[in-house]
Amino acid sequence: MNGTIIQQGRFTSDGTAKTLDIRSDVDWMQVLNYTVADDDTQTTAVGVEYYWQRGMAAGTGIEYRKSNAANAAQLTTALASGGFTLLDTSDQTPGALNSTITAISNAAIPVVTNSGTNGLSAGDVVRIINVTGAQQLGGIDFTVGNNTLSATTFSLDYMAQIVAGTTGSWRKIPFQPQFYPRRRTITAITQATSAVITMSVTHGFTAGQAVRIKVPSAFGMTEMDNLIGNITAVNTTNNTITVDIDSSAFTAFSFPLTAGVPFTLAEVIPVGETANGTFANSLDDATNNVSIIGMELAAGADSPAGTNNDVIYWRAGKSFSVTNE
Amino acid sequence: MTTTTTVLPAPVQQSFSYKLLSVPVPYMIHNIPAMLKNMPRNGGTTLRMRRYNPLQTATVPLGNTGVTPPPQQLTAVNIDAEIDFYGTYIILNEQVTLQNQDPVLNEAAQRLGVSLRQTEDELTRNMLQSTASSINCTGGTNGDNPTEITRSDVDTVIRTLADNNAYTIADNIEGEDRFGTAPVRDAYFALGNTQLIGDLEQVQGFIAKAQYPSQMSTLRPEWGSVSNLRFLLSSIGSVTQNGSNNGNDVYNIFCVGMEAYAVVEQDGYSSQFIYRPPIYDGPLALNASVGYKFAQVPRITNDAWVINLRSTLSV
Repeated sequence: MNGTIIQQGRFTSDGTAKTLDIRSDVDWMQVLNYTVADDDTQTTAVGVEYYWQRGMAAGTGIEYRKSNAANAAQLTTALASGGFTLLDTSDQTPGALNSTITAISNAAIPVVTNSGTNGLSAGDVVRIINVTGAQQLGGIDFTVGNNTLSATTFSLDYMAQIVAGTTGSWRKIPFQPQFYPRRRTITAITQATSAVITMSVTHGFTAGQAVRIKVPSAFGMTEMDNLIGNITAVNTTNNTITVDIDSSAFTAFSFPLTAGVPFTLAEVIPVGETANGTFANSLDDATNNVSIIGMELAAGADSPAGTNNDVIYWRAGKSFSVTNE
Repeated sequence: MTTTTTVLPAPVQQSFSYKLLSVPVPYMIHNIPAMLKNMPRNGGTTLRMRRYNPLQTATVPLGNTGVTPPPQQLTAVNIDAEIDFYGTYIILNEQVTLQNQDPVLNEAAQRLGVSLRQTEDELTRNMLQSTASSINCTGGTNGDNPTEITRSDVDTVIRTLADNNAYTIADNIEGEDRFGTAPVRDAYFALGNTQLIGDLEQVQGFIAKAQYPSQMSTLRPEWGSVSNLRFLLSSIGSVTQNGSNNGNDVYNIFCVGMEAYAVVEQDGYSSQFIYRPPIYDGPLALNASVGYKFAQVPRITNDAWVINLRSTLSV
């Protein structure tokens, strides 16, 4: 196998970073943007081929550009960012500490304001740490939402309204825990004939799964604590599940305030698959190790994953030996 | 003039100590309380287990009307686990085994054996960390969330397991007339990280393993007990890095009752140790390979019988 091309493939870019599962690991990689290669109308140079090999820093690579303008210069360039990054998603090391939070708003969807540039995208997961006035969020992971997102702000779309906080820190959590299905932190539960439960991080549950709801006394709705429900509906926009538990007469769910720290989190615990005829052959709850080793290709006009609808061809290889001096 | 070793040095300056030095190996604690289940050969990718839900009791008299009351429905939950395959290997150039004075292949086999068992252990640990319900320690005074472990936190987790009808794993150790010993209650197991040692010994009611009246039923990685929890500690015990409110590491202590989780293996497959001599390598038969592979998946079988007690450290 050594010294050979071990894997190759093609995908159509959706304009976002692309993760390729290459379990055999990779020593070098070449990516070709077929759409750019086939387009003879470019007047400014744009990336058509990309190359990476072991020893280059994370996020880097070599870019070959194409232009139909006469005498185009600088057609080969080294990418300082926006290139290739090796992945091992079993690595649970959080990202660097960013002590940059200056405020968390008391809007219906809390908005975090940070100094500097956060570098976050919608769907990233961040861990909030030690925010003055909002200690109750400390140590909890949140999926970054679309509601408000800029270099200096990001919103916690799946968090309930809070009393405003001031300074604090955050870390990016690169990868989720290794095994699916995962325990999830609850941020809200409705009082309804079929309770709707919101979770802080994209949950991944499906209809038919049975879940146990843990609600410590600090959250009010103690009648719900330890009940098992079957998921009847999933809303991926709001990151909710609907369960067949009537919570209409339960005490209201309320997330603790900063003074309530320390407390135990309210959680959704995966139990199994309801043994119901509708889901007789569903294996959605199956415990499964979803970690991968592979390569992440950054997206963009001068990055290997390209822009929306670009057709990308790639091949990856192993070398018999790697000598980086 | 005296002839010294400066004038006449030994022709070979070093000798090799053939007894190799010990390699640090962590205690592998996470599969100790696990049930072992087998995935049948040619049985697909996923093992399905089933647990029936309890029925309601019937404490109201039937009366004398002769009318039959309504029946109850029998319901159940299916619990599924999908097998994955794992493995790693070493390629040894024939010159290594030919020229090295030490038994490289033997040592490779030992190191691979440890790697295999540690992989199995870490997979179970990571599954528990991903899935098990959690209780934060809140009785401590370190100002974090969770706090360091205290007796009230131990009591909470024992009460929760008992409320959920979890069976203890270890029998009690009866008291004996021996100086400095104390009886040990029947207990759930608590699987944690060795970093917890200092705080654990400060918990009210802690009994060190050396204080058990009998050592017959203790385990090597056991550190001691508090109330109905016996603590098994390992340097690879679960840690969530920077997981607390203040950004400190959170130590996950998996408190488990009997039959709380299982490790599913592939029947007739797990695990294989594979040696291929150089003759299988290529035209010049340069390299041997030695490796292992196995198939496995860990799965919580009763989520109410395993609790992740999360704690930080006092210092």
